[in-house]
Amino acid sequence: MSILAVSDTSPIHRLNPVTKLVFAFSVTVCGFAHTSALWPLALLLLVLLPAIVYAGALRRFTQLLALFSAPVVVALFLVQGFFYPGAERVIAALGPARLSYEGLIFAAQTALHIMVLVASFLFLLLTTSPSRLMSAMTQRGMSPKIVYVISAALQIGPAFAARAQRILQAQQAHGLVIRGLRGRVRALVPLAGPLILGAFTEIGDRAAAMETRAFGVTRRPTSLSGPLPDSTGQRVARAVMILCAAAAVAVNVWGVIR
Amino acid sequence: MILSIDSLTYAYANGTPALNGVTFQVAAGERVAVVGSNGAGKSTLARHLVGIERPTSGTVEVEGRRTDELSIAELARSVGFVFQNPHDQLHARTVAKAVEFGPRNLGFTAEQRARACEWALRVTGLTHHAQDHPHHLSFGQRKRVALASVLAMDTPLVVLDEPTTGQDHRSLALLGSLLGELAEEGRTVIAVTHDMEFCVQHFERVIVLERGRVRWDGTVEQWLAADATALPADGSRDDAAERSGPPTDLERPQLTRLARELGWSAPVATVDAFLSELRERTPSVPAN
Repeated sequence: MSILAVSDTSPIHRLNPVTKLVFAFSVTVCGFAHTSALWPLALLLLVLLPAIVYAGALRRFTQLLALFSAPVVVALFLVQGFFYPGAERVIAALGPARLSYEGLIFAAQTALHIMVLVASFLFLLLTTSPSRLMSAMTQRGMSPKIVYVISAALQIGPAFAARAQRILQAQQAHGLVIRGLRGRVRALVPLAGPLILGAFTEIGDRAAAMETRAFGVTRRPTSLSGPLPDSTGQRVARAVMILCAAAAVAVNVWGVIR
Repeated sequence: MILSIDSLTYAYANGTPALNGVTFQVAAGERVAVVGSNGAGKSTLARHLVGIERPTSGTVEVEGRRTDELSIAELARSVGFVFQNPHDQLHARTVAKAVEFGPRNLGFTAEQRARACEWALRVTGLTHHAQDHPHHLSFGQRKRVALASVLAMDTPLVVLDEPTTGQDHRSLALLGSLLGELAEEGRTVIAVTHDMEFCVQHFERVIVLERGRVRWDGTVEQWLAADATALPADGSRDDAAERSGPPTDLERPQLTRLARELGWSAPVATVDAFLSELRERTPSVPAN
């Protein structure tokens, strides 16, 4: 399952990547503006979900959101639900552990905030190709090295997953049965070696290839792609989103001060 | 038939078609080369044989068992698959352990393992590298380690994905003699390759894939004799492929092209065959 956008399949895909980056950033910041669980839930249902539906990526979005959020959400509910400090309303007791109402509420609030963060960046990843994002940021004068770090960070997960998949297929083709807990543990050893060694080799090769193509020169590189589409509407939208994020920070700080 | 493919169609997750109605059978002991341009669907076809890819429609049967009903590990008893990239296959700290990995998974006894590994290392010319770390070897040597690790599994069908990539002249000769040895043992070999010289020297049957369809299926001699724009050997016309664009123009081996330029009608692919034909036509050319 690819996490990266591969083609311009919707008007959302065709938006300027910087607009989507600002959107993801602003929604994340707004999500943390208020501690209430309703606020991030509203952002998820009323802002992010319609955007992702319009982009036609709902299925992959849902799968990936569940994949990335589930472990955190489960851990949050277990830890906060049973061990929330100062809990008064106990719902159930399992031996020494007590499931509290306050703990569950806190877990739900935190989980929803985290889900807004994950969902925002999933939206960015699923609707923006890394190369277009790189071009857009370079064209706006950002340092190519910083742009490369961001792009590499976006791509490392899918690249690692694809390599792991290839290695597992190779091991299975050599008769390794990957079934049940024991099988999966057995598969880890032959998986880890080529995965880590391959990653080191790839990093070294890529660094050498980039240096031999003059990546380290001090002059600003020429962008191979032409100017990416932008519009007054998008520029205004970006300004509004940044203002919203600033307002969210102000609301949050105000809440703390008060 | 050790392999039977019937109306195999496959499309990638994004809907791009890769294989379209591929049908052919391979008898036990045959040596078959699957050739075609980049993107013709060769590697995708090969990956179906070991169950890594599952047909969108149609069937692939190995030893009478459908590959979509078996796991990759179950198929590994019948099909040895040598991947194009050796890096993903080698995880052990020594070549010997890498070669032993498959037989161990398949439940070989210690004695069987030792015998299979010794043979596989010998026929791939790696005996003296047995205790080396695979990552300290050259790319070509690693490819041979990957090949040895599959040969040691003693499967009746061996599938090689681009086996000649990164191999020097000596390694190619070794690989050629190995294919002969496998044929003597009655093992079936299917290779996906771009290397036409290698193909005509070591294989008896050629299947040409073009845009996911079988464009040609016949003996090497028929293929050498056929014009580059020829239709399938059985005379059947693949109208869809014909309409879809120009036919595959796979380069024949240099000697074959030279013989054609000289106007010779007999298919020639090797130095010996060329000299023999030359002597027949020009008696003044001295014998060896």
